[in-house]
Amino acid sequence: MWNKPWKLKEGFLIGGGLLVVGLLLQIAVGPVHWERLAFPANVILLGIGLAAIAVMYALRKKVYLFEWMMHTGASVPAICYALGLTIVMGLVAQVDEGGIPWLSHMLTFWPFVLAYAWMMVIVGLVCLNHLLHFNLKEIPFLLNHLGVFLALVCGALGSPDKRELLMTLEEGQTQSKAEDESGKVYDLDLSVELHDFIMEEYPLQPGMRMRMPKRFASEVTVHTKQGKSVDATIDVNKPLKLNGWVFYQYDYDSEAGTESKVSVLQMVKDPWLPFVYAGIYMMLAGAVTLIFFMAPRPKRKEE
Amino acid sequence: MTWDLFIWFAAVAVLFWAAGAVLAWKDRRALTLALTSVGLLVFFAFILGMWISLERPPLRTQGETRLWYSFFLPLCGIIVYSRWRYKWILSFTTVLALVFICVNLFKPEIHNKTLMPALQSAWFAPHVIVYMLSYALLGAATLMAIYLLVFRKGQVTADEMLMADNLVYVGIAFLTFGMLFGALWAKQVWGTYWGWDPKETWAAITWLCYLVYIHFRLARPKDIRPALWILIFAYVCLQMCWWGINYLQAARATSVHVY
Repeated sequence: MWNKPWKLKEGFLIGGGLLVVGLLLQIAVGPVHWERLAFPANVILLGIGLAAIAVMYALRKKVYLFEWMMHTGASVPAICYALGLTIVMGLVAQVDEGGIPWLSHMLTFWPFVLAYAWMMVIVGLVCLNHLLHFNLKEIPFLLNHLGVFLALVCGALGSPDKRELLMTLEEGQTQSKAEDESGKVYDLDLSVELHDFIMEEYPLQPGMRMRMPKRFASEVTVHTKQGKSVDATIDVNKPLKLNGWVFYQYDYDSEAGTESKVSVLQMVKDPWLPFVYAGIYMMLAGAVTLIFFMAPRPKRKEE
Repeated sequence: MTWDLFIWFAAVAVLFWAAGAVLAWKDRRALTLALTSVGLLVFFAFILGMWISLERPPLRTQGETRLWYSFFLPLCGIIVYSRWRYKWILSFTTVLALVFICVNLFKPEIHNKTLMPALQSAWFAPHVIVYMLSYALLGAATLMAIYLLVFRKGQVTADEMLMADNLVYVGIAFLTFGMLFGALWAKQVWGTYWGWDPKETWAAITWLCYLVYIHFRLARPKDIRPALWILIFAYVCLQMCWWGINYLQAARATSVHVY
């Protein structure tokens, strides 16, 4: 134990130590408050994290831990801890209020957050190592690892900056207010006019008592502060993008059904999305390279 | 083109695919590729015909989705075969494609089943198809693991582990496609790419399991048995993700994926 080179055992012990630290933090300061990481705190934290990774990399010859973190022996326990806590999350119903203390609120549970953070520090280190020793052969590795790093880190740190508002519209009227899930009302720098709420149903299917919805959509005109007017039909699956917002068909007056004169749009603004998407597209490209370059080659037998 | 003609196109296509699969076992590489390709062309002709007569891509109903399954499976099979020359892969994909063709033939009433608006997306088919293919590949890896752990006497050879590794690499690649297509689709429907819905949580669990396998194989290439046990554990998690959560109390209340 603790003889160089470290093996998986040391990795599991370090991960276990992190788990204990997480539990102590949970007891001492309570759950993780993601909302406190809203801009600019998340950018600062990201900067500190990246700087820490750079420093760890620079000190790798002096501090064995940092050197070891870049080996697959460190990655296996790190993924295992993230995996274990995610399995708990999958088995215990996740709820907003109540439930089992800690385990029903996995996303704000310190050990869960630290396990993923530890994994990301390791991924960050190996990415830096491969970037500094770049050649074409490193591309598959980098696509996969940098992609995961971008998607996960920007997804998590960006989550407090995400705005999700609901705008309730009535046919023939113009609305410029929307509210968030806590009921707080926002005045927007644009207004939406609902011309028509469209709802279509399938013909009654054999064996069913109710007709199934086939389509719902809103015909709207969006007026911006700059004096621009945009006509659009917003369908489920066909959102409208305008002024940094994305408008989704969200709800309608379900009691009135096809006669509904009310439509609810969801407005989403997510400034970190381009980075998350960059990560996702890198992972998709990485998956292709996984098939064609990273999979171990079988020995070809000549015909 | 109508569904009435489906049985003829499907029968001809399956015959070509089966012939290709048989010749793959006999190492007739060029003929295998040619026959499987002809089968694919015949099958795609039907899809194209439906496309034209429906005046929309045939992706809307469950039956139409299965049409694409049955087409993509041998297509992926032929790609894998031409790359790695695994003799068994085309038999595997042919049988799976045949299963989906039979479902379409024997359950025709599903052709017109309604599709809720959220599912009416171009992502629907690829999301499900790549997942099914990855489940198939990872299922094959699991069978391999069980065989090596239980039935195999003596040392596991490097070639056998190479096969298991390859199945996992290709399997997790398609698993990644499925998961990320799902994320891109979810963004389009619900405005969020990842919501920790129980199905998504179990998809992440499955994905992490296979990452553990890949990294463990790199870290400890000589520890064969633990690696094989990871494969079996991973497949249990995969089953949980696929249909297990339908029976999981934690998921039933909250998941949009329970059907």
